[in-house]
Amino acid sequence: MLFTIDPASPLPLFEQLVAGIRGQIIGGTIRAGARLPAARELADSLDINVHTVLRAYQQLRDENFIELRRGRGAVVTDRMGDYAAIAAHVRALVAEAKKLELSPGALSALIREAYE
Amino acid sequence: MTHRTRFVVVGFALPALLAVAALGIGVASGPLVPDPIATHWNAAGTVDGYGPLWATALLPLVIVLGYSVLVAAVLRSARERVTAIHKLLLVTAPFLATMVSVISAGSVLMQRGLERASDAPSIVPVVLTALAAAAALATVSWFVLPKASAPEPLASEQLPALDLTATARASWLQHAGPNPAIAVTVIVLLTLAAVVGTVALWLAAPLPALLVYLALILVVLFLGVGTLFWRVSIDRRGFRAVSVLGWPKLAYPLGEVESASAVTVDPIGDFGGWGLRWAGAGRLGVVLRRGEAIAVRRTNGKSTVVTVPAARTGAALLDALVSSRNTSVDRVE
Repeated sequence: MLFTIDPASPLPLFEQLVAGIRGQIIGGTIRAGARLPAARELADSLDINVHTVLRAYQQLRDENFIELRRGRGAVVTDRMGDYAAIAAHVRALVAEAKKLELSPGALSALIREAYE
Repeated sequence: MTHRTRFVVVGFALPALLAVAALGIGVASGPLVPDPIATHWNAAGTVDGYGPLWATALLPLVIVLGYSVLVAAVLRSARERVTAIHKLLLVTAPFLATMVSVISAGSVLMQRGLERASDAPSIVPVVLTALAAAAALATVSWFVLPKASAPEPLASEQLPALDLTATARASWLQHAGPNPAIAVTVIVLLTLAAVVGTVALWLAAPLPALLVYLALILVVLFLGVGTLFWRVSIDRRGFRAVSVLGWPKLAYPLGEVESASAVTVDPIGDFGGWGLRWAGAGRLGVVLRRGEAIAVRRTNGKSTVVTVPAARTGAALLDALVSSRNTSVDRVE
């Protein structure tokens, strides 16, 4: 599993982690039942605070992407079955946006507006 | 003779023939040897154990049949290409068959015409003969088998391009372990061995023997788990493969890594089996299952191969980290 953070980005580190892991779960790179690394392991590897990782895991748990179990650690849940359709929509949407030469930022802004 | 025939002859036919011959000699000697016959000798060469004739006569065949499972696994692995490791593994079959058959038949033959089994002479000449014959037959078998193909570099695959900004920090973390079905089989067999052995020793042997046996089971369990379940990480600290028990541990800082690639590994053909292995010429392997693996070439010329899922991404990251480190190091110099 690949984990990427960018200290130069305006987004807080834990949010970057959440976005990265969430994206891989939705995209299917990380499958249901897979175990995420222990928080300390990931923190040491990325050279960030372990609480940053824990916060990211807690948010993913709140969003129901993972379960935090004693002894087993963070396990990816199976709710992605529901999101397979969304992943397909996202791909179609991005293809359309590229045709219109819409940047990722602009597309995200449109999506965020639609939520309100 | 086709390749396949040679394999079958060396791995199955020859050992079977030897074991059946030993059985035949045993059966034919029935009326001529004492009952029970001598079956064990002490270090000084005098008889100190007895048993039924049928057990000694049948043992080679039982061993050969049991060993044929290993032979079948080697044959299956050698279907597409034959390595020197395949040949080495395969000639152990006639070696073993010769050893047990000659010792079995020899120990029976030398007791022909004896009144009492305790009069049997030392087994040492028989063992030495068996050793010489086994070595000779194994050598001949080696040359009967097809020539091993020259060791080719493990199949290497294109690495995915990673999209990393200059300031990004990336880590690749992955668990590596054996095929679950195999892990379960090994655990079941080990448990069976533990239970059966414990019961047998409890009933028939003094307490120290039982304790030693249990200690051995624990050691095997520890080593088994320690070398079959690993955590692999690739990040700013370099390449690390650490057993879930914390040891054994392989750690190569980025400065010690020359390059990384994704390869395909055949455990039997490339490394002679599973676990933490050495394949000669500075090649170390953490071989847990057949399939994709990360191959790390180190600056000291040696290489390490670790079978792990998503190997291509891991190798791509390690390669990228090494390149960017080398660029920044050059800039400083």
